[in-house]
Amino acid sequence: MPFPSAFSFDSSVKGFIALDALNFEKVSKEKGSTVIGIAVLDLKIFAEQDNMTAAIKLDLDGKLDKENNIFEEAYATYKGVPNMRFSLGKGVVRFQNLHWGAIENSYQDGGSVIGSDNQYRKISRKAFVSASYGGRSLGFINQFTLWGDSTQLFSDQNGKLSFISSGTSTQKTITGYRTEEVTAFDTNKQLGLANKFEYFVNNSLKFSTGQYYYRGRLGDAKPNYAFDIGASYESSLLEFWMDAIYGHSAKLPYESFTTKNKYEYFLQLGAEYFLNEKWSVIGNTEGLYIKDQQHTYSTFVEDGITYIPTSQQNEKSGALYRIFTYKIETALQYKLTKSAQITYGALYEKKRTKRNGIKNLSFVRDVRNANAEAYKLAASISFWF
Amino acid sequence: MPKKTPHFYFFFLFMTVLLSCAHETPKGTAARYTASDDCVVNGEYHAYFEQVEKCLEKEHGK
Repeated sequence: MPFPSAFSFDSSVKGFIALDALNFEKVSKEKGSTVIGIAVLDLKIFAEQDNMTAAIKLDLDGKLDKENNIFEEAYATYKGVPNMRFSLGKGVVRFQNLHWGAIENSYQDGGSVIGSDNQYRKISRKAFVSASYGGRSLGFINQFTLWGDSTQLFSDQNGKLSFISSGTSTQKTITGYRTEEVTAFDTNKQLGLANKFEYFVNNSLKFSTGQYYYRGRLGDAKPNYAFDIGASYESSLLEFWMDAIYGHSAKLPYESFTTKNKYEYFLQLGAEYFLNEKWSVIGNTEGLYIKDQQHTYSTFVEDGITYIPTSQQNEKSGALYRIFTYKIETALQYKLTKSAQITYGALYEKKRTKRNGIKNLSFVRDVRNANAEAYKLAASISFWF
Repeated sequence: MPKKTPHFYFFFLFMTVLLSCAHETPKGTAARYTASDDCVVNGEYHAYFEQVEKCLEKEHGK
């Protein structure tokens, strides 16, 4: 006799597309350029059966040169316990209160014409396991995540890191560490923790707070940590958003975007005022202050090989960078349909960098557009389904 | 850009928020945000997929 069973299966595909219809960007003395193309193109596939759901998100506008980089998220969720959910897979680690600006993405998701230098950005493509408790009906949601990077530093059987170097058999320069792509992270090599608590005062007002911790366990890696507070208000007439982050990060001397000690402070304030059913006006401003102490590089001998710093490493050795970047944006938004809008707006952005207290330098190693201004005029179309 | 421009910008942003709050009327959820009768989402990129996921859960639970 066959075992009686009943299945309730549902699936759907949802997407968000933003097209730069006609943008004009100019950075300081560079010649202005017109930009036309895709700003955002994301598709997410949801599948649900009984108490299990699965989701796969494809980031089609991202850099797809790495294998499987198209999958920004791929996770499964169990919802069999009331008000609780358990997720496992690859995806976004939540601790911030992310919000798009007026015509440009937030600094926390790489939205900058001039180029921002912040470490704390949207944390995506991470291997994670998470548990959340709560819901809007309870007035709060708390989500705790244990996570790891999909790229780990490679170490030999003695736990020693391996350099990428060039030169002769007795004299070399180091340009990085060997890394390995992993689908599941090893807690002996790295550990990430994150928590996000959202408190719903009512249907319109929400506060959030988040904490972030990450430590690579190889070499002399120091812990990275950050704290976030955010608020959102939404009514028929006005939407308001705020997010603030304080964070510290540290990396090993030869890692990409390395820093010995980087302290950063981020603040975003924005509002959208609805003039009528079709038109709204948006204002958004973000500020970012970074204090970045660089590693000191010197010649050393290991296993009979003399390692000499490169000219770039010598140039920034022991330097202290102080970088202040801000942008102000404003836009008019017109609702074409219930799921499409067109945005016209302008952005002004400025970056000031001091190297060891010296201002107005035309070039600072590893700081893009170190002392510059930027403008952007934008007309973009967004469509979601 | 003149140095005072950012200050004026913050001033106008603050005044806009202040005036808006003072003139607000309780109309409930804006109809302009409704993508379907059962699903309320807005066109904000970072919130969109989270809102959609909640909508799908609601629809599936019916």
